[in-house]
Amino acid sequence: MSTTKRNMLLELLHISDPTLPIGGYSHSNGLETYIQQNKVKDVQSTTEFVKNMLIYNYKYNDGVFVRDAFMLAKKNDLNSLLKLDEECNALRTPMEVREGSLKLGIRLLKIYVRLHDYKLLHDFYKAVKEKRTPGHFPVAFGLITSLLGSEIKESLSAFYYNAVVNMVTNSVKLVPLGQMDGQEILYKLHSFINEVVKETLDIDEEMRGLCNPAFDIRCMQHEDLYSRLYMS
Amino acid sequence: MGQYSVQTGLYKDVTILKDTFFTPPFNVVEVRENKKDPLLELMIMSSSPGLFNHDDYQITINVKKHTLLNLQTQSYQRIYNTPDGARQTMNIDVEQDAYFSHLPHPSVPHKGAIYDCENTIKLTDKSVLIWGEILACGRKLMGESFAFKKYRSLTKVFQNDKLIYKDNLYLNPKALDFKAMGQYEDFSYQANFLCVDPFHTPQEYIDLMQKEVEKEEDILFGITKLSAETCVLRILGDSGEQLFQALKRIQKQLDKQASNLRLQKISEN
Repeated sequence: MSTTKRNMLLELLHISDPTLPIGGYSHSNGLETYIQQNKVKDVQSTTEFVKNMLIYNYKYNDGVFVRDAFMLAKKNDLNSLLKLDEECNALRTPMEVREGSLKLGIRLLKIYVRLHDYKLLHDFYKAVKEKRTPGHFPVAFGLITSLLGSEIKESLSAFYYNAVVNMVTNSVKLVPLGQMDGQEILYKLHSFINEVVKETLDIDEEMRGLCNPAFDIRCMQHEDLYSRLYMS
Repeated sequence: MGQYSVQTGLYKDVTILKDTFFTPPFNVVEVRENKKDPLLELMIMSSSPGLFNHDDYQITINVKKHTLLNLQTQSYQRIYNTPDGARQTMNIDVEQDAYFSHLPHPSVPHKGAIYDCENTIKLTDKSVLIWGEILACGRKLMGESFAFKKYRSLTKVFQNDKLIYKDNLYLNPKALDFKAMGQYEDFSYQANFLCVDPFHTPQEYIDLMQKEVEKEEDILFGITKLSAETCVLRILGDSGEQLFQALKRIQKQLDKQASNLRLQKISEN
């Protein structure tokens, strides 16, 4: 493996590390509601939740924004990135999902503007600080990994892997599941993640921003749960 | 191609139908009972039982400054077997201090239906929008649940040219498993209800919606605040009529509130 490739592997491991201090682990994106309603209760239902979140929600509402931000960063097109961020914001209906994505995005940008002096990254962050753009996580993730020199497929794999790790870790704590069960779910999803990455590159544009009614409703219901460990 | 356009106007503080244009199968009719009510109520009548192959409806609504409009439909919108597709495009402008309320009857895509609908709504920072949408799985009692080929309803709401809400209600039995966790699960009808109102807090709306929707049984719903002036209600249920009536009750109260607020402003001036 060349030095550049090895560096890129480390870059992607770093940015997709679930312990990156952006707060990914404090959001369940509706999972906590599903668990309290006893809809997610064991290994099988957890796997179903994670898979459906990936193919119906993350792919059309997150992955597509990682992909497009990645491509726009290659073209150094700030204005289109701002438009993309606006669309990403408009599609996030449940308040906690919207706010969660913003918190993660802004914290991720804060980390990387300290580490790199890419003009596009600093210009985008400036727009966030001046409230000209919201600063959503998938847009920031696509922008940063593109500037770091990653390949699009690797960037998407890292993004989805991070999402899956967070969902599985939360399930292990909340359902609860055994640590080994969690690892097994995660490991068995590797090829599934690869498939979703491939599909993201060739999404039917009509499905961009697909509405997931039951996921959305569970996220909205989370706002009023009697007891909550997670922010969404 | 069927089309209609509506433009409101003001006459002695009461909203009137200033201009309208329509082609078959449409007809635009005023249904306001109290002629002193500042809120104009219009009904779109249609001589067609629904949308057929190649139908392409074009709708333009302009709610002028200081006017209030409730636009109603006459009956359920059926989309028949449409092998080459049917479509509807709706462009809506709600000007300063204007109010637009629209809750069409549920859409029912029959077996083989292919339907595309695009709604583009432009608001100012002082416009009020009450917008509802209900989708049925098809003719359930005829054994046609999710038997359509494609249903897509894309709604985009801009406030001063900024996209503030986008909803892509897309259903394609080939691409989605409706019964899957996160989709329709055990339900067969979906309703969305959006309120954008800079003159009231979302919490006032949320309390009202919560009170009304909680009366209903066998539904799954969630309400959320999108911004300091916007909130959304999403419901899954098993009866289009039940969802329609529940949302109608909410809409009726909001329309009345808008009318009263306008009457109060008129009396103050």
